[in-house]
Amino acid sequence: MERYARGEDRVFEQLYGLLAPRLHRFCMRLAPSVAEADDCFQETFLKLHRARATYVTGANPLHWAFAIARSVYLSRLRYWRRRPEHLGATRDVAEAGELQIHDATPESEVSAQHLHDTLASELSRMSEKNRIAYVLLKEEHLSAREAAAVLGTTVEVVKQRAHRAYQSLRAALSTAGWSEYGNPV
Amino acid sequence: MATPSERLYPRIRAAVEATPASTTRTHTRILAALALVPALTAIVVLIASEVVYKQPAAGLHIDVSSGIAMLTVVGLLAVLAVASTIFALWQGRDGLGIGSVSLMSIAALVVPVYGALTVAQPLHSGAADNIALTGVAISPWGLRCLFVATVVSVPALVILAAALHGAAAVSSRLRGAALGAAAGAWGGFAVFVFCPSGNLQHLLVGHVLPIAVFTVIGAVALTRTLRP
Repeated sequence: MERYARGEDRVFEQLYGLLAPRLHRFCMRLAPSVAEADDCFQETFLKLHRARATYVTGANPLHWAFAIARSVYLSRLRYWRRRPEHLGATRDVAEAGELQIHDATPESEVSAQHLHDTLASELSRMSEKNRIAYVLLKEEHLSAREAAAVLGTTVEVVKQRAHRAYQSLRAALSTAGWSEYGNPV
Repeated sequence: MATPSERLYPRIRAAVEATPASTTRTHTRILAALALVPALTAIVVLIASEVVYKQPAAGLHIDVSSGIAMLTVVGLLAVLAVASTIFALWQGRDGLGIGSVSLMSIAALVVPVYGALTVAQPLHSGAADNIALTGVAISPWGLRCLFVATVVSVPALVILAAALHGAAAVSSRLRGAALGAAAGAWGGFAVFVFCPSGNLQHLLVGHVLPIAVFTVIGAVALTRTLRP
């Protein structure tokens, strides 16, 4: 990222290869539909390119990219709220994920997919703030301090939001007939 | 099968190639801003004071009750302006700036701190408000000071916004408010050095109000400029 920030355009492909998979997954968690997640991802990369001179040497480029992605998403959200007639997005992100399970029985595959769908569906339903705090801490494995920096808030608030998200996930799993540890009740 | 990010790569690559991007690093722009804003303040104060009162830094010479108090307040106001500017511009190790609580503190505290230093116990006795002392009529509404503060704060705000253009991915509204407060603090510092008035109404309207106004302007007008 440091080389790209200095103006070395040829390292873009390498940078993209390093950032894109996790950044796209993060956009999938932010956006309500796959199309919206793709748009958010593309716009994030374009903004990252435009803002490359603002990158601080030594900073984690992925965390910086997460912050830009969230800023892009919130801008898009504000845009859509001003134009509610264009809001036609379906919440298909929850259905988009498919588990890659090898050497498993058909029963366990169905069971795991059901568990995954329950979690993804509940994540897409909860508030953006709680969802992103949870995603950054539990899926992207950022520390609470790093997540707080990405979200522009305090460590305590991030922990509180992630805890709320965790509780609603637990409630959703329980309603769907799963225990907290992923076993059918 | 291509992953979603692999599928989108050609389109993103084409868009990136077609989009120009500055390579002037933000820390370079910040350093330039930190040099330009005080220089601009000094130039405006010296010119305005010379034009109006026929002497440089009239606020530090005319009707000053105590030299030590004057030096202390000038020093504290300079610290307020410099510190609020540095913290508002600070990018931090992660490039995401200081936290939202700190930004909110800057935006909320600059006006009361400035007011406490200059209005609670004015440095000037108020004798200069009499035209007989300076030969200059000082409006109780502080219109001249409002103008001087604006002449300093507007370019200061533009310079600070240019320094952080596209660099605040997080808390951009609060960052804008903090930059507005910092620009206002430079305007407040300028009018303190420029103006010898001790009139309470004049101080509130001409000296303190512009800082509050620029804090609000920063929060409202800079958000888009600061976002990547």
